[in-house]
Amino acid sequence: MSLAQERSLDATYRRRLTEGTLAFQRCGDGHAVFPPRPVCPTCGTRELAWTESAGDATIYSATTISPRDQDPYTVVILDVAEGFRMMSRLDGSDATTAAIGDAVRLEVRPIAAGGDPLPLASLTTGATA
Amino acid sequence: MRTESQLRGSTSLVGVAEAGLGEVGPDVSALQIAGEASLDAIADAGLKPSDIDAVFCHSAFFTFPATTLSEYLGLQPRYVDTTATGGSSFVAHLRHATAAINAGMAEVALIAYGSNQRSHSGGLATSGANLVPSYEAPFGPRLPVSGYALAAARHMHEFGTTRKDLAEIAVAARKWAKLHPNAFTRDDLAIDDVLGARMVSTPLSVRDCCLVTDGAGAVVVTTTERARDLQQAIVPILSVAEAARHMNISTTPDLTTTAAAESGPRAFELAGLKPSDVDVVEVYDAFTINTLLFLEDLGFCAKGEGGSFVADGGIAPGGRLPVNTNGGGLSYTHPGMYGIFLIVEAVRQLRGEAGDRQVADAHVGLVHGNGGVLSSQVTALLGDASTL
Repeated sequence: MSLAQERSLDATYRRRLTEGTLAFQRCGDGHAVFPPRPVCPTCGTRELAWTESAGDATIYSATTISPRDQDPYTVVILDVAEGFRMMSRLDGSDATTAAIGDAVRLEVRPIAAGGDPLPLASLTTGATA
Repeated sequence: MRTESQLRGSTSLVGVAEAGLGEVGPDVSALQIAGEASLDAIADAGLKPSDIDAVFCHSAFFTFPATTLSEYLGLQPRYVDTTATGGSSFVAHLRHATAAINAGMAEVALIAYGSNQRSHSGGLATSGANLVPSYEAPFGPRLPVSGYALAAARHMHEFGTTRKDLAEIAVAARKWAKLHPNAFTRDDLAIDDVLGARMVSTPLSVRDCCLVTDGAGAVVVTTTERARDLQQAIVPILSVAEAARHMNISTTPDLTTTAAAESGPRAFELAGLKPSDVDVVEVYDAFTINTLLFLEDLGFCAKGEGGSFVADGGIAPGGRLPVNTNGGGLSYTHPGMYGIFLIVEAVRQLRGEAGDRQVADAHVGLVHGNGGVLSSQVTALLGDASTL
């Protein structure tokens, strides 16, 4: 089945994640659209094509949550380089050092082994690989 | 066709009431206390339930809210509205009721809300199941607080706002609450108590967050012409304006300027008023950052200057501007959706019935409702007879 024929926008997005890519839509005028939907909210066109992000982003805002029974993690809103905004998160040592304005890389992987693949962020600078 | 500004003062609030504030116990339903508040508001207006011909209601606790409430109270409305924009719904209902009444579709509107979320679960009840995929939940935000925390963090980054600035808002709310006999929390609260409180979602601590209480509220709206013949001093609705720019916080175009920057100026223009005309302000303070953002967006201070505006007791009793004079969602009551209580407190201030917390010479009140995660914003300007 071609991408254009795939009926569910949400399922298309999830399937692309399972293939390791962060997919988003772009309209003919070049507006990035995320989350997926049947219209460009900027210009109103319904002519949208799927494309994928290279994974470079900047932290627009961040909040750290410290549950009693697990390590702290940081939920962020990212400005993704291709021109859309999305939520993501940083775990491990990045969670406690991340700051607004920091550059991050998005990598599609589960939060914990066996979980659904998600676009998760890690700091570009100071990362130990 | 009339323009909306011609509706200025065409309708008035004629009855208000609250019921079941605090903790009512597990066997008292949200519907029961919503019903009790409704009956008390109708009685406060000097009306009978049979006078109600329009019912406005929203609830996370019972489905078909206006229909359910109508059955419960034996009402037979010819106009029914369950507009659901979260905590702002009830302020939006003021506008929708004004529209219906001016269109001749109804004459006497009941607007009601009730929740027993403290007794029921202690957790936050949300407005119904969400059966579409979420592009936020998998990352583990604690919603709604994390959404507001993201706004607070960005405001600090852009404008140098501090946690102490936010703590000033919690402390001011508590000082107002200490003047209200029905406030849920009336013990002392200091800046350091807020700063030292358990962190929930940085930079917001548990003392930056609203209460979880039970409670119900109701108001009655009719034509100002009819209101003049009823028993209470009239509280005319001078304007109401609605705005929304996002539902999910991650799609907002701007974390530090809310859609209140649209609803506020529209409400002022419709009423022919400006921020300096406002004597008493009631804004939806689910979190401390809300008050700061709304004071800026509604034009009481410039963007980024909210911190200095609230500093040194700026919005506490005796400060520069009386804000959230009942103690707000932070210290008075917060049963899931707080919007109806903003209206009740503004009406009591404008009628001069607010006891120890009464603002002197209160002629114009601003009510600002917030729904979702800084999502729906609704601003209303209310007055007394001198404003017509």
